[in-house]
Amino acid sequence: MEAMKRTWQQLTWTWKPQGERESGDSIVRNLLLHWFPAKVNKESLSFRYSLWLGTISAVLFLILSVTGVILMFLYVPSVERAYPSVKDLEFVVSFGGFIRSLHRIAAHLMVAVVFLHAARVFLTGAYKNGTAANQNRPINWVVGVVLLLLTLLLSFTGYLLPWDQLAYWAITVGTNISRAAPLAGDRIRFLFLGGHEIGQSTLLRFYVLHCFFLPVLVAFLFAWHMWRVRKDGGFACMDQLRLKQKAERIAPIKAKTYSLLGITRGRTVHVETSLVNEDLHTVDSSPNLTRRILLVTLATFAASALLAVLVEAPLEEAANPRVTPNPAKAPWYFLWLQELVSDTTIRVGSFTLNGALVGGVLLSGVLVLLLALWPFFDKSSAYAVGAWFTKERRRQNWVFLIVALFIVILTLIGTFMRGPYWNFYWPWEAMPEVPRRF
Amino acid sequence: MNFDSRDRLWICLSGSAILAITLWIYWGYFRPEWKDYQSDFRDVGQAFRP
Repeated sequence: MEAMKRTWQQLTWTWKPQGERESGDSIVRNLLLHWFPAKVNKESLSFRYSLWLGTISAVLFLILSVTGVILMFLYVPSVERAYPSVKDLEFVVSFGGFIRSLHRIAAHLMVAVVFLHAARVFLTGAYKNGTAANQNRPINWVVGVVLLLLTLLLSFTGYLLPWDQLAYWAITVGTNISRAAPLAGDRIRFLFLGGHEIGQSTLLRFYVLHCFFLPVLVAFLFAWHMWRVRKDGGFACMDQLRLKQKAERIAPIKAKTYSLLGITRGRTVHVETSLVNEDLHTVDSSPNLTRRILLVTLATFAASALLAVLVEAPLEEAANPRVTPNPAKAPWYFLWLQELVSDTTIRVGSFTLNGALVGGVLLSGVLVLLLALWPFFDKSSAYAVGAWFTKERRRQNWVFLIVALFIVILTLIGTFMRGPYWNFYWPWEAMPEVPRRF
Repeated sequence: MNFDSRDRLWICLSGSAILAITLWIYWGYFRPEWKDYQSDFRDVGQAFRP
């Protein structure tokens, strides 16, 4: 009985701690919460600094995992049976349409939210090290960029699974862009598709990648990402607060020291991260942090569920390699790439500039590489860490915002203004009906 | 209102929203699928009444 009680206490926590000790214990001794600090800075809890985008991404990943497992019980990854199984899910299985719709909406939202999270980290300079020892935020930024790419890949691999026309041709367009990669383009596409055309091996590869490899990789990197956040002394806004206190020359309160620490070499992050008057700036994680996590989880679920009810997941006719939709479009998050490919394809006489290579591979590759390595080029001071739009990083932020806006505009053009034969149409122009090509 | 009570309020609102969406989904599930276009059939029936 006592063992069961102890296990129950380790799995749950108190929402009404009687004191600091109980509050700290409910964090440190808990399986789910032990990776949080026992006390948390008020600024880290606020919505105006982080917008809680990282937590929202994690909640969306959780929704995707749960709905994904339910869908796996009913989906059959075979060319003959994939489409009928999705159709059954949509029209026969109780609430199957809602589960599928929720899975799809959460996937789209996750792509957008992870991108916004990266934008927040960039604009606040949160990828930079502060003044504390042993920080390595640039590495965590690189992990974050890899997580962004994996999120895109997760969504892309899931796109094929319904095996309808939309899925088939979106993946055809997407994988055709990879063909333009220098030297290994065809091999990359072959590796992806498991052949020269999209078929059974492609569906199986995408299914295994989507349901096992990529989620496991994301879960591992997410754990590493969070571990590094803790090792780097929490959110970067803490560094900003400490620097302000130093600038105001507030003398730190003499902390208690232990003789054992006197003989160790170097300093831990915690020595540098101690704040003046901690009680003024920090609150107990239980229940303040746990309550806010609950709030973000519930709100994210409510918003996703509402969108899932309002926007049903599309299901076109079964995939048919002999019927090409006009125009065939990539998934929305790759439409800026498709638009870039068409804009950089230039024909002058017999000379053709390969847009897939220039726009689809080189330009986007350079952009991703620059994004990943940016912390190593950023030479602004520690005062530009953990604050929105600091004066010192104004130019960098403008460049980032202009590039992001450029990508958003290209995505909008690709989504709403490209008609048959990829011709451009203004939103107020009617797109012509084109007979299907067989 | 401090952030403690504001959080509690938003938790209540989000929880209520989830409950409302659940009821909405149930209502949609038990409502006959043809309800949305039933009136169209009535109109067609009246238009072609001999």
